[in-house]
Amino acid sequence: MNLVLHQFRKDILRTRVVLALWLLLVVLQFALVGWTAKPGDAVMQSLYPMLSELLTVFNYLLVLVLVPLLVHQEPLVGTTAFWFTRPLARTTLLASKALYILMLISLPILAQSIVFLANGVTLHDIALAAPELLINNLSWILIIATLAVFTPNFARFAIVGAIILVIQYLALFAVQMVMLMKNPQGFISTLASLTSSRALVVSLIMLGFGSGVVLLQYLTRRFTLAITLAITSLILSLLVPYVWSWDFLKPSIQIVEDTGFKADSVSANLTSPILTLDQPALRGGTPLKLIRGNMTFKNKPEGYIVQIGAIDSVLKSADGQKIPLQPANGQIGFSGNIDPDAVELALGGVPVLNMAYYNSSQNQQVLFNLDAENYGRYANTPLDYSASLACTACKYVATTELPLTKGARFDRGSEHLIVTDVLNQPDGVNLLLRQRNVRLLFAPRGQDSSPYQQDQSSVIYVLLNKARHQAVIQKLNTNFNFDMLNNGILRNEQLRISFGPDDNNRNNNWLAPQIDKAWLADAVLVRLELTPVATFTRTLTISGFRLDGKFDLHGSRFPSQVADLDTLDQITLPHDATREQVRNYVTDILVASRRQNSWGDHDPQVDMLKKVGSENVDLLVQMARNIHNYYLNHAINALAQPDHKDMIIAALATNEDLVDTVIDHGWQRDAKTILLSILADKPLNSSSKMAVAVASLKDPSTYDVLKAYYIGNPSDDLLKALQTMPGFDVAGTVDLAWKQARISQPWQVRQMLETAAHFGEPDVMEIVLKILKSKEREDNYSRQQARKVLKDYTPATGTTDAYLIKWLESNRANLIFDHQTGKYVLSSSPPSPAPVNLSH
Amino acid sequence: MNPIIETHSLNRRFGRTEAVRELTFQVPEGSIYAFLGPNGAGKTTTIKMLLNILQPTTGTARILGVDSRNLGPHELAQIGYVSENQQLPEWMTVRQLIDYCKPMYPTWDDAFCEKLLKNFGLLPHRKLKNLSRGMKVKAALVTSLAYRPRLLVLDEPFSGLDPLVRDEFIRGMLELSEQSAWTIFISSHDIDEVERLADWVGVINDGQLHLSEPTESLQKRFRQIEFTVNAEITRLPATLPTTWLIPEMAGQNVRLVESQFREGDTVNELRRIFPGASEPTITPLSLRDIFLALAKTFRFKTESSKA
Repeated sequence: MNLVLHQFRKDILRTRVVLALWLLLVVLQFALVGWTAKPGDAVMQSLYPMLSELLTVFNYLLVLVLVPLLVHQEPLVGTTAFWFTRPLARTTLLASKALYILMLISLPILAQSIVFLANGVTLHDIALAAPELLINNLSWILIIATLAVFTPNFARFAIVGAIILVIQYLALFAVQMVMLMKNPQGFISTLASLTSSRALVVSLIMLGFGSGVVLLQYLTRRFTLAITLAITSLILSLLVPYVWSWDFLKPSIQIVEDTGFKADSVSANLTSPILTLDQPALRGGTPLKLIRGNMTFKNKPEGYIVQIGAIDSVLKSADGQKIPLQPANGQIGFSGNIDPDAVELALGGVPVLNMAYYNSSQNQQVLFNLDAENYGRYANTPLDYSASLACTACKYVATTELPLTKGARFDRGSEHLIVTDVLNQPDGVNLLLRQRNVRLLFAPRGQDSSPYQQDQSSVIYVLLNKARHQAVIQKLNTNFNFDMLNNGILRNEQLRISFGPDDNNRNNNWLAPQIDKAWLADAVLVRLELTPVATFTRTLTISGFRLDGKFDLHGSRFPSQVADLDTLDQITLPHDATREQVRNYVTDILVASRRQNSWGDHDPQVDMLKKVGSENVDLLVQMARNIHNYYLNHAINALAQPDHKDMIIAALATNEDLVDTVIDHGWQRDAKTILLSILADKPLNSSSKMAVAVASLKDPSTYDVLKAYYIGNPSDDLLKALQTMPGFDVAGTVDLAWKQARISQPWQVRQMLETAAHFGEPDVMEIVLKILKSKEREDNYSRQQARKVLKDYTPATGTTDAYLIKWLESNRANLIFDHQTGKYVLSSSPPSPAPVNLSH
Repeated sequence: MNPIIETHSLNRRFGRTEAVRELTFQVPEGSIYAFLGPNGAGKTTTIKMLLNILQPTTGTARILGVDSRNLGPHELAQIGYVSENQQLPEWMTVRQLIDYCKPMYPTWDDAFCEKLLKNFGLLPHRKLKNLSRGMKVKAALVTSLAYRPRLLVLDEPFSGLDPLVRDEFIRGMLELSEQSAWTIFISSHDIDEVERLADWVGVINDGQLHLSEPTESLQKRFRQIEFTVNAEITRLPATLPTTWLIPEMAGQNVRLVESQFREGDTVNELRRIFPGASEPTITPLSLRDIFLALAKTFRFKTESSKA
């Protein structure tokens, strides 16, 4: 033991400079991880992760120098090493090196454990983190040590290392090529947990073989055997990431018992047209078609969400032949908006005022992939489709209610959530939260089982005002979720949760209350977590399934929801109501209408709203701010008086629907300035009605703005208005708008097709031919437009696409636009082909 | 004779090259054994096999009575080794090297070590990387002598040393050998350096050992013989005794080296082959001349066999 320590001391002495640097880095690295950035200091928050990464890289580089320096003190190859002829037992030497390596591993783990403790990580989780840290550190050290035991000095180490890197890169490339050629789809799509499992296996191979090689070299110096082991481990580590299939780190779903959900009664349905997306050919072969459908679940209790984890599709032709499909690996569907019913259920029935209730429960599901050749063969024939769906039912569970005060906190094991600041906004509030957690490879439920490792709907925050029986959900997609500092295990995040009007999606603002100090005084922050309550499988069978989607689907994607007359009947406006009572009255009407997705002139809401009288128009305008609400706008229109003019015109900036009131009351000239500014500043987000309103003034000073607006947003209404404006270059504007449409989305081309034909644009027939030849199912509407253009603007008489294509191919070159008749005519008259009897 | 080194049919191959072939010799304890041979003869390979740095392909070697393959710390604590190519921990100072080596040897003699340091003129605080080649060899020697090893193995210790340092080194070795009863096994391609030291000599060439015997008997059996022959003899006979090495003829003068000289027998044999030859002049040979004679013979044989 004395000699071991003697040798260890010598190694410390030899490596003292690099070792001191490494120690400094370790301390800095973990001091940094433990450091708490000031909320709101964006510059520092950006700087520190960069610094952290830099330190990590330096740390790895120093270990890359330190380990060879250690091993090469007593080289294990060659015949000239000093220690070969000294009475130093191999075991003594190995023990001293092991002691040094132990120091290299244990110090960071110790430092990290202290940081973990300081960050409130439980001892249980620290114990789980230790093996992960050990494997990470040791595998890197052993890789370096393995190389070092085969080289006599650092120069050789560097050269051999570089050569191995090149060989490994080439081998990796070769393996990837082979795998890609063998199974392109499977190669690209891999579940995250399987990737983690594979990475762990590679680390364990490195550990096992690396230890073996190092032990062999130290104890026996049997070079051939050791190098064979090293090469074997290199080959295995290259292959494992592609061939290892046991996903032992796959997170298990932890079910929380819930009697409200009965899986037995739930059945799966496809409730939307089948959508087809082209997938590029992965290796110059046949491209793939991705088939997608909207999956809904009948008899699902309201407020529960069913997610599809895996889908196993089988497609058979009419004669029972199985059509080869490629699984939708990693292409499981997506859910669209957060289900308001699910949020409402978690909140005990309190309505969420800023969620669009009628637009929920989208569950776009990738059913399968098949190659384009088979798609072409079976696209128009009835098939038998069956699928086995692995489903998980979830519901939102309120895990904590936090007062809106700085320092309020939620603690759950190693997880900590602290309100660091409450920033009041003119029309809402921003909450700054600090979230600390650990992400453990060896967590009992798997590292991705924590809800917030999933998509944005897994954890949501709601402001709940129990006194007013109202709730508002956070603005989605606008979170400033800053991964402040993390080192792979400890996650230290700064969250900014915003509440207030959502400018990007006005449908979500249907009844956002005025989030002022008075409202916030009664509010708490509720954290909702999506929690699995059941797992089950369902089989879906559809006879007569067609890849082109032309078959009867059972049920509608959005079942019709009309006005809830019973509830509305119970809402009354008190006599001589105060402003607050009027506000509550309006709110109650809108809350009762929240699930409606069908609106009509006979609905009672407009008449009910009109009862508030013209003296409350300003309140209605305020409540309609930033939202589209059919009833509110109709009521405002009906109640508006000349003395409301300025107020309504000013509100146009936040409620473009008020343009109807402006037009109906003839206030266009007074609104000209604000309308022009909206059209110029937000051409894509403003209504064409605004442009029509401006055009009705026939004011030449507005022509440039209107021209620019039409080029970006061509519409028939505006075109008609432009044609009545004296001296306006309509043809030139249409030409520019058509050119713009040509380089934009297909629907924009389709939208302008007839107008372009009407104005004799020269390339219209080329586009028409292209549309007619398209096989895409989504182009059905475009094809209708194309047929109409041919019928109305050319001499073509046939009705089938085949005929029209043939006719157009024969005559396209001779078609010229006749400005007299406003149609395309044949410059010379070749005989029209006889109509052919082709089924369309 | 109590051998401290003993080999039997020792062989070592590197690929197709036979570096050492059928090496069998013994080194008596207490001797200073000069292991001689030209560059590339197999001296260093033999020493590395003796010290278990290389493993023999076949054959055995025993050092201090232990199979060289099983040489462990116990044996190595009794062996000192200095080589021209040995990689010293050059980042250490001389003192650090001494302090590093000392705990490995139970017999370490501090006073002796300090004396050696003084005798060799080594400055303890100097880093090894800043020392000249000669001083490095001296430093290595200090750390290989301070524990008074039973066996000191020196592999080309004089290589690259200037004459003054060599002389100091040899004188130092002689003084020390008088003080301690140890065995020195010294390999060299330069016979001049070891002539003053060696009491046993082994000669190796092309991997094969050609002789291994005490210097005294070697010098007894090698003689240079010069004589003149009759005018009718114009060339040397095709066959001469195999013990006659490098025979040469210039005019009527003949010179050769007899490797098995026996006073009467050698002269009688000469007269039988060269009747009428003059009285021969018989001169003893230095170890260097013996080595040169052998080396020339080896080269001649090698060239003849290639031809």
